[in-house]
Amino acid sequence: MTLQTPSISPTIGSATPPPPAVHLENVVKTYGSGTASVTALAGVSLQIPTASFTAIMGPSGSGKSTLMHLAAGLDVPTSGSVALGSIRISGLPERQLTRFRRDHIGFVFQSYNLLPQLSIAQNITLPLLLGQHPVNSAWFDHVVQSVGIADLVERRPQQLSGGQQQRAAIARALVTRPAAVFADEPTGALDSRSARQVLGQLRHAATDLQQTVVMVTHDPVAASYADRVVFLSDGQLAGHIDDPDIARITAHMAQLGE
Amino acid sequence: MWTLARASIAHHRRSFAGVIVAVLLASALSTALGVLVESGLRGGVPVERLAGADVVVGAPQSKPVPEDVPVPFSERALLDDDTVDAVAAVPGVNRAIADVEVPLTAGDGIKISAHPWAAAALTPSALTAGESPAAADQVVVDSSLGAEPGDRIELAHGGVPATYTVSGIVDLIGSADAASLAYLSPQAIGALWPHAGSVALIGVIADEGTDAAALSAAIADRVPGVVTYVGAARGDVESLAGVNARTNLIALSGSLAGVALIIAMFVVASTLSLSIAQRRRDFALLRAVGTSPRQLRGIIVRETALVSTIAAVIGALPGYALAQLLADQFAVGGVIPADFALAFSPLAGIAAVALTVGTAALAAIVSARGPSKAPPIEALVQSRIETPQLNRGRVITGLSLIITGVVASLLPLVIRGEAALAGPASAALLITVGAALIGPRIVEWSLTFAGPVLRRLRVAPGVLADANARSFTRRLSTAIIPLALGITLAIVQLFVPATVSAEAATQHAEGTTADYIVTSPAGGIAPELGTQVAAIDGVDAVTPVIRSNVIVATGDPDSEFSMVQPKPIQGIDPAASGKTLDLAVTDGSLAKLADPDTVALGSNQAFELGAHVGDSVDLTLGDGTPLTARVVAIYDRGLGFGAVTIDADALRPHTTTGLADHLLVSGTGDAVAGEITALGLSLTDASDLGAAGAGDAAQQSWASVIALLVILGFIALAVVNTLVMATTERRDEFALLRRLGATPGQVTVMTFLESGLISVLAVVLGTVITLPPLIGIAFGLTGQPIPVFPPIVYGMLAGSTLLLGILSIVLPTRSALRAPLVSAV
Repeated sequence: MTLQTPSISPTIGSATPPPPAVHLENVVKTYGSGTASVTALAGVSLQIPTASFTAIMGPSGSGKSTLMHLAAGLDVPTSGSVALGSIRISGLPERQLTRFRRDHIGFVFQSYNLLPQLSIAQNITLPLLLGQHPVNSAWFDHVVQSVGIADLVERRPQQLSGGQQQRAAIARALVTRPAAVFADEPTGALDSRSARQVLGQLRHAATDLQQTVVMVTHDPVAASYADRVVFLSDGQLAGHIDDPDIARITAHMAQLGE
Repeated sequence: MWTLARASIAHHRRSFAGVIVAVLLASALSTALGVLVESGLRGGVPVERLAGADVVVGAPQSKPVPEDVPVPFSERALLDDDTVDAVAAVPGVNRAIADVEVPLTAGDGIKISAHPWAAAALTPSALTAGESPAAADQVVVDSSLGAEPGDRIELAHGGVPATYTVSGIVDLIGSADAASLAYLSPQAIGALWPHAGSVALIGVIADEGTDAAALSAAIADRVPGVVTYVGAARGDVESLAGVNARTNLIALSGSLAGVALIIAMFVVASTLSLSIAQRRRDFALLRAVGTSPRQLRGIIVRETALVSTIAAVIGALPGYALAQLLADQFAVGGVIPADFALAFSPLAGIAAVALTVGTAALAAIVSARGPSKAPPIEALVQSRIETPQLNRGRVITGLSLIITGVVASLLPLVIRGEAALAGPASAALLITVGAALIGPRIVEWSLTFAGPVLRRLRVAPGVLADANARSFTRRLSTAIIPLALGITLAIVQLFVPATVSAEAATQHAEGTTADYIVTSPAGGIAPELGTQVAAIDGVDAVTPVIRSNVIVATGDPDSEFSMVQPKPIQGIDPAASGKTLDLAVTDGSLAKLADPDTVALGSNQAFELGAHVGDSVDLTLGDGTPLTARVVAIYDRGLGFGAVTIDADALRPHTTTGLADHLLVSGTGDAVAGEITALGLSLTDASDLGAAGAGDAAQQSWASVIALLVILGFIALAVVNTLVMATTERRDEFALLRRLGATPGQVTVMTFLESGLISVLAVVLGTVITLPPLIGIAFGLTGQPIPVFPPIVYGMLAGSTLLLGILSIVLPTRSALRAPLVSAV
């Protein structure tokens, strides 16, 4: 597992035999043009190993959301490359990118983003339906059981609590057995008890279901569930902590000026 | 508070854009109708032929109706000869010139209006060559004919040709498109004018220095039973079209305005409530941070007032152009003359702005009640999904309206005649409003049929479309109802006249038993020509048919249910009727029409008047002459031949021209046809001729098609507006689907299926709503409950509805999909 700031040349990570689940190479993202242009990411290289749980932290405006959008193929980098598993997704045409996202990436958003007109089961299997893939009912049952909403699948999202909705969103992210699950502030809208459950589910997904999980958060408690915390500041990597605890994360964040 | 309102408008540009469009369109439409109504009161045809007269005197040209628009006479109302002297005797009158009008045709079919030579003084013109007509065979024509003094020209009156020598040429000054004029000597015009002892108009030349308006008042004061015209109003009386134009315009724009205003206001109100519903979340937030319900209502009403005032003012301007456009189309349809000048004043625009802004504000107050009263938390929860239940009151009201509408539709089963048709016509509107109220229920119900089909597609767009339709029945219903309303309106407006005219044509074709129908290329047939045809060897029977209108008052004049309406009347020869016509007489005998002061009535007309054979009825003939007549027969084919039938000799003096429309001829022998055509007449068949009143009906239906197109156009724009608004609002939903891996194609197919569902439901609903009224109307008219559905027109209606519904959802979907994925996160 290698992590670099752009000033240090990459060496070690690329030598390991299985490719990392997520691989960013000197990624730059600027918005706008001319004098009005804003650099969100100023050359970030990052590798995230398979079946790990990584938290990305940084002050507001540090580029952590942009990093996740690029890694998840929701946006394209201005320069540099993004690869998931063995597929280089930067440069893929939009149609293929969409298909790739659908089949190989899972999303969990802060505001759950379940469709109110669909039942929980329909919401969870929506990515499969969109990709015209059959639902593997054993896997479906396993996923809904492991996130603890097996009894709720016939309900509508608005009949569930926030925590339950977020767990349904996690189930939706896992149902396609994606190359990586990206979670954007997944506990931002939850009370602390629900947040703990959701984080436990993400941890469980990485450890027991062998899923790669990448989570953007500003909450040191949430980040402490990860295997590693990666810090961003002003569009550049600003260090990392392995096997983090809350105190170290808070201290590092304080250094970065938050 | 205004600051908040302004900020909110800036933030919700998209949502407000929809409101702005709706208000703008409503304001334009209202302004246009306002201009037309005002023009009915103050506009007019410019005076041309009578521009040289200071005052024009005529007989009253319409029948006053208490508390309603006067009904115009279809024929020229005449003045007694003595009136000329009476007018001349009024102090200040220099000359009172009697004028009559006789239609002539030149050899090549050019229509010429002939007048006595004396009347040339009323027209700004100059005799540029030759001299005035002195002998009966002399004529002065205007320069447009290209004749020279001394030329011999043939002019026909009612198909009877006569040769005249051109004695002089006049040049018309300053009249652009007046019909060709001819001036005859007093003896010649007297021989052609069928109303000896009466004149059409009197043109007055005032003494030097006499004020025309004062003179006009003096004449009206001193001479009883006349109407005087000065200034621009002289145009009203110059031709019959001018007389009728303003009344027509008032009647037409009045009825158009009624429907259009209701729809415009409906559209403004529903767009506004959609826009407010879309911003529930914001309102909930405002409530949560401590805005009182009162303050919130204040914000909503203020922002609405601000936006709608600007939009209404901007919309009023194109409204004036729309009025001119409509007037031009009415002119094409013959409802008003082409040179009818509209009265443009700021009044129409001001009224339109006040009306639309008022409606918008009122709708805002009503729509703001929900979000402002709801507790903040509930409001936040509600904003996630629609309220699933319709309130009971709404369902009950909706159902009662539908039931009332259906019952009203069946009125013709119990009552006969055209009076009963008013029920079904308004029933369509009742049913539509009822359907609008229970719209979400209707959508749910119809999904039990459509849902399985969508789900059976087993593809994501199908499943999503089904789920969307199920969860957002209100959104669907908001889209379906206006589309269905358009279809309903179009069907009722187009197919009721179609049903009527189809039945009239059938009656006319079946009832015409004559071997030949004879018309004149000149447009009318003089009585002597009828005599000539009767003299042809082998001709059995000839009846002239004179078509005119009669004004019939039905019901108690003091009650709400009285109607004063023009109805078609035909004049025939009672002696020849048996061999040429079969009016399906059910009681009495047409031969008795030979007795003086007798009429036969169509059965519907008899029912409306409550008249039986032997009863006496009061009618007003086309020139305003009252007639009290005994009913001698009742017949069934009133729709095809006219509501009233009378002896041609009794009707002729009460028509302007005194000419017959056509002749019905029965006869045997090969030579008959040849001899008829040798007289310069032509043969035609019943379908080419058309049923009684078909011309008027065509004119009315053209006008109502125009009116309908305007309203449909407005509905179409409003529907597009609403659908675009509603679809644009779904950006977030589309973005989420895209992030979950839906391709733009899948999202488009999903909305395509939804829009297809909406449009098909709209067409079905719109059609079903019209069935009870149409069946009722068909039964009332024909006794058969089978309405006429012209397939091509219906296909076009349904097709354009489908296209409109689908495009206005799919296109904004495509545009919403173009937004980048991340900025939408």
